[in-house]
Amino acid sequence: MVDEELHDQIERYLLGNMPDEERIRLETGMATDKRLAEQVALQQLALAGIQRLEAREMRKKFEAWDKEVGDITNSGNRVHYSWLRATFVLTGLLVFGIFMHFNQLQKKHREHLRELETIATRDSLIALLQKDFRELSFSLDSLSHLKNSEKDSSLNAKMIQLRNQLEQRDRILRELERQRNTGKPQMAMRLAPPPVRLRGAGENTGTDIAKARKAYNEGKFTQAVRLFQLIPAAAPEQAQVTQLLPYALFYAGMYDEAVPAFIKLWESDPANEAMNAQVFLLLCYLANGDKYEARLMRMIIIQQEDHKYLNIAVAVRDSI
Amino acid sequence: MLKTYTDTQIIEAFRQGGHHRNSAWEFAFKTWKGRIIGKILRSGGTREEAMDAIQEAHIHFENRVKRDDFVLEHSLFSYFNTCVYRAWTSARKADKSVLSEVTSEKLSDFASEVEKKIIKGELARLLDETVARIGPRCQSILRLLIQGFSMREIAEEMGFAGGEQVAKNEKKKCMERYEKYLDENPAIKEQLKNLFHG
Repeated sequence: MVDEELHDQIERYLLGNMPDEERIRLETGMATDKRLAEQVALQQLALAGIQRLEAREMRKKFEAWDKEVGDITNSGNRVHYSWLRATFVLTGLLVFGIFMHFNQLQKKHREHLRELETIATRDSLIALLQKDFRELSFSLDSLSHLKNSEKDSSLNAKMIQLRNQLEQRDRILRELERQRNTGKPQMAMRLAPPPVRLRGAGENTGTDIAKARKAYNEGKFTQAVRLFQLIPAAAPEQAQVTQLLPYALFYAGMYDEAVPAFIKLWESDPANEAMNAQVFLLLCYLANGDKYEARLMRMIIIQQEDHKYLNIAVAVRDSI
Repeated sequence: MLKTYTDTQIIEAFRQGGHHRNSAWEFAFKTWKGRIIGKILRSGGTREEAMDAIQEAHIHFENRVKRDDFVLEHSLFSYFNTCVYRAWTSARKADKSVLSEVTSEKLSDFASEVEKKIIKGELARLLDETVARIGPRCQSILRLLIQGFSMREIAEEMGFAGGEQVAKNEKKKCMERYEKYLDENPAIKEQLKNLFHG
C-alpha cells in the first residue's frame, strides 16, 4: 500500500490541482519509476470511473439547465411567436382588407363604366330613333297632304310602310324610355329638404296666387301646381310662380316638369337659388331615373365644399 | 438569478472547485449551449448527439482549464466549443449512420474509429462496473472530490460530524476499496489499463 502522502499527491496531479513545478517533478519521476507510474495508472483508473459517474451526473445537470433555459427561451419564443403570429394575421387581414377594398372599388368603377356605356348607348339610340321618328312623321305628313288624286298605289304602299315604321319606332322608344325610368322617387322625396312654410299665405285669399300659396302650405301640391299654372305669364305674381312652382311640382311628384322649372329658377336668381335648384334638380334626376344627369349635378354640388346640401349629394352616391 | 462570470472568473471558479465550480458551470452552460448545440445541429447532428458531446468534452475541458499552464488564447467559449465539436465529430466518425460518406480511401480510418469506439465502450462498461463496487456512499464522496470540494466541504456536504479529518479518512477508505477491488481482480485491472492507455 502506498503512503498517504503519495496517494494525495497523485490524486492532486490527476485532478489537475498540482502546481506546475510539482507536476513536472512527478511526471519526471513516473518516467523513471515504474512502480510510481503503475500507482498513478491505478489511481487514474479509479478516478476515471468516478469521473464517468460524475460526467453522467453533470449530464443530468446540463439537461436540467437546458430545460430551464429552454423553457425560458420557449416561453419567450411563444410570446415572440404569438406576437409574430398576431402581427402576421393582422398584416394579412390588412392586406386582404386593402385588396378587397380596391377590388370593390375596381368592381364599382367597372359597373359604373358599364352603366354609363349602357346609358349612353340607350340615350344615343333614343336620340337616333327620335330623329328617325320625326323624319318619318315628316315624310308621312308630307304624303298625307297630297291630294287623293295624286296618290297612286305605290305611294299608298309607301305610306303604309312609313306608318308601320313609325309604330315600330314608337314602340321601341317607349320601351327604351321605360328602361330609362328606373328612378327612385321615394328616396328623392325622403332626402329632399322639407317644404318651407310660406308667410302671408292667408292674405288676399281671393287671388289665384294666394290660393296657390295656401294650398302649398297645406301640402296640397298638385292643387298648388294647378293654381300656379293659372297665373298669366305677364302677371306681376309670375315672379312668385317662378320661385314656388318648381317646389310645388317636386313635392307633387311631377319630376319631369320640375326640372325645367328649377333650371328657370336657378337662372332667374343664381345668387340665392343656385344651391336649392341644384339639389332639387339632383333629386328630380334621381326620382325620374336620369342617372347621367344626376351624376353631373352631383359633381357640381360635390365640388362646392360649402354647399348647404352637400350631405344629400353624398347620400345619393350609391344610388346613381 | 444566474450569477454571471467572466472567463477569468470561470477559470478561477473551476480551480476553487465545489459550489464555485458548479455555479460557474451553470453559467457557462446556460450562456454557451445555444451556440454550441446550434453549431452541431447546423452541421447535421442531433440535440442528443450535442448533449453527448458536451458530456464527453466537459471533463477534458475542465481538467485542462484548471491547470496552471493553461493559457487562454481566445475566449473560454471558443475553446469549449472546439472541444465539444471535436468530441462530436470523433463520435460521428465511427457512427454507422455516416457509413455512406466513407470512401474506399478513408475505409481504414473509419475502421480505426470504429475500433476506438468499441474500446471506449468496453472501457466505459468496465469502469462503471468497477465504480458500482464501491457503493453509493463512496461514490458520493469521490464525486465531491472530483468536483473540487475541499475535505472540509465534503464533510459538510456529507454531514460528517467529525469534520475534515473524517472526510479525509472516508475518502481514503473509498479509494482503497476501489484499488483493492482492482488488485483482487487483476484481469479486470489489466484490461482496464490496456483499454485506458491504448
